Amino acid sequence: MTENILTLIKDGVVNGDPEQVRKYVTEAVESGMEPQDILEGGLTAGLEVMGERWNRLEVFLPEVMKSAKAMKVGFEIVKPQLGSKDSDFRMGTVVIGTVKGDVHDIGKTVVATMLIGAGFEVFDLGVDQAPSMFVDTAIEKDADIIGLSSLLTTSMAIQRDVIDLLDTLELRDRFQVMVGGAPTNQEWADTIGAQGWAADAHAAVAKAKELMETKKAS
Amino acid sequence: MPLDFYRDVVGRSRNGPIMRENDFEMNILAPKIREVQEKYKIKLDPNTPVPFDDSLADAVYQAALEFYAEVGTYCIDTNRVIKFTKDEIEEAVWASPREAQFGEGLDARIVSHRDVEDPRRPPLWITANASTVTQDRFFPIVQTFLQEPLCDLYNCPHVQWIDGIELGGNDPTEYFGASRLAAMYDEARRRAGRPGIAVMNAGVAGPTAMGALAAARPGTGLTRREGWTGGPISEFKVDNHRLAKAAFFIDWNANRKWTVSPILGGYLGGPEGVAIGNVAYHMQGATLSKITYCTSLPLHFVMSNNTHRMMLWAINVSHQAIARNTPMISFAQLVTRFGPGTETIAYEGAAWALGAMASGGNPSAIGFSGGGKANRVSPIDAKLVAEICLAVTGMSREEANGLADSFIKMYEDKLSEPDLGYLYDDLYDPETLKPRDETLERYHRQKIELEKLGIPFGRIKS
Repeated sequence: MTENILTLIKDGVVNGDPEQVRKYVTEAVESGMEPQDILEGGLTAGLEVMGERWNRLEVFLPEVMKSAKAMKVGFEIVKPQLGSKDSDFRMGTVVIGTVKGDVHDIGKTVVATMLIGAGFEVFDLGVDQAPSMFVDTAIEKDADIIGLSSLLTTSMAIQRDVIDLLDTLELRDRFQVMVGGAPTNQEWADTIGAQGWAADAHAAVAKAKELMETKKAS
Repeated sequence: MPLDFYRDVVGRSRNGPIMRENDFEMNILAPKIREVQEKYKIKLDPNTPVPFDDSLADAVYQAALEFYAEVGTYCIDTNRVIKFTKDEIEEAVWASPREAQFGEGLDARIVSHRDVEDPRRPPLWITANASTVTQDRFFPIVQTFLQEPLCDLYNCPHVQWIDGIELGGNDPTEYFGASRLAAMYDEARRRAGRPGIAVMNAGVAGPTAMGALAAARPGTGLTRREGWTGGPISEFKVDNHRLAKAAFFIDWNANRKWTVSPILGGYLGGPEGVAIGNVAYHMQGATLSKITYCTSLPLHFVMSNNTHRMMLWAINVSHQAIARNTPMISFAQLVTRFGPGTETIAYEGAAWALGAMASGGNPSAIGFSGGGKANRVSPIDAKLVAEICLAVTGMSREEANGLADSFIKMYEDKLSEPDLGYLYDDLYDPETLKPRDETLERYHRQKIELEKLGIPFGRIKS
């Protein structure tokens, strides 16, 4: 029974079917199944399948986004059952967006979707966002990481402005900041004081996990 | 003033179907690309990176026409879709110029539509594509590129800090940066003794229309005969700044470029979707901006290069579709995974050049993926790829396919862990502008190796 219902949840995520996920996660919760089993054996397992398929280019961004949305439907049902243990089952919370002056969104969306697949809760602000939007949302969502994308050299400086705003508000220690985008590099991240930089989406997920491990260990 | 542009394009951006951006991407664009791909039976053959099936190329064109007519372009400022009928699209495509002059005087070059397996010498756009350089290296680097006799057309690099001022976008420094950089481009070409050579990325320094207007203002030295940069936001979106740039370039009667980057693994899906999308982007440029030419650089969703086997298939079949079904001038732009001064870049360049030249693309090389370190440019690698382009010009697609396949096999397993290469100062002496001994030695060694592997450098006539 347990294995069967977890397979149905996993399939619902893989197929991007929120109704199937809602139905079987509700059933699983009502039957008294452990919430972490539902998460790990059904919801996260489904997204892992999609992540692997995406790497092999068997599925693409729209399918993975649908799966991530279906997974979120299930997570919201399980979340109250987790109670104070909620954070134990999430990798962390990320507020991500493209900075002011830049309207490129695909790279940022790819990273956001991969982070969801890796178990992060992600709040995607979209493009052309001012520093205060990142900081206000990070406070509101009690985020662990702020992710800043910039594809243009002319908007890179806004990444630094977000860190300056955190400094001014004395919130620098509360959030880890990651930067990315074609014109950025490790040297730039070091210069502005960002804790993380990644050359591509896979590296961004690995870096986000590393930052969370460091945070949880401290 | 281009009144038809305001009526046909701006009018539709204000009155077209209204919807949320996410609905456009997820419910319109993504399903339609898959639908036309299946309807027209477009299917990747990974063993044929340079396809030689005319019916496949023509099917890609028809799929793109249906896709663009159904999907259109989403304006993120008005939340409306700018759509054209199939007849309107084809009318715009066939109103595109078959050739155009770039540059002035002795440095002027005529750039043409190219056919599949075209035997004519292509113009060589030797470039530091999308690179950033420091102000102290700007003139040496540009001069090094322009002193190369093969260089017909050029992309100027970007400078992030000028005279201690950091350049931003949509703020006063955009005006300052765009106008100063334009003047620096003009001075650089005069210093190099190439005063009329066209700058193919004019107006790119600013993300808004302000940057383009600043670069074009009297006194910068740039003319209508440069390549003035416009283009969409991936995938199939524009904003009001992009439309305003188009209005200005049309009104000024400048050479108008449409730079497009369909993303493999993104909303367009796999290589089949990228191929269809790439052709549809040419149609978008014709309808939205009455473009002079299109420059396309499809990119991998993680690695941001375009030398994967399936990327090359998509690039090549889309250029064949354009070459066979339109009069448009189209450039293929190389973005390698490996960096300047590495051995592998020559193999990536050879695989790309074989396909691009046989498929009817004009060549533009090189851009590098993988991190925005300043001064990461290599004129000698761009020259080597240009020479490969000349050597393989006129080669049949079938022959090019066999050779390209053998080059791809030399690097495809290494793409996940690339060597990002060297900086200009590692490869050149910035005082003499000459390649260092080891740089020159590598260039000669690689040329001999490439010849042995089948690149017929002996064919080059001029």
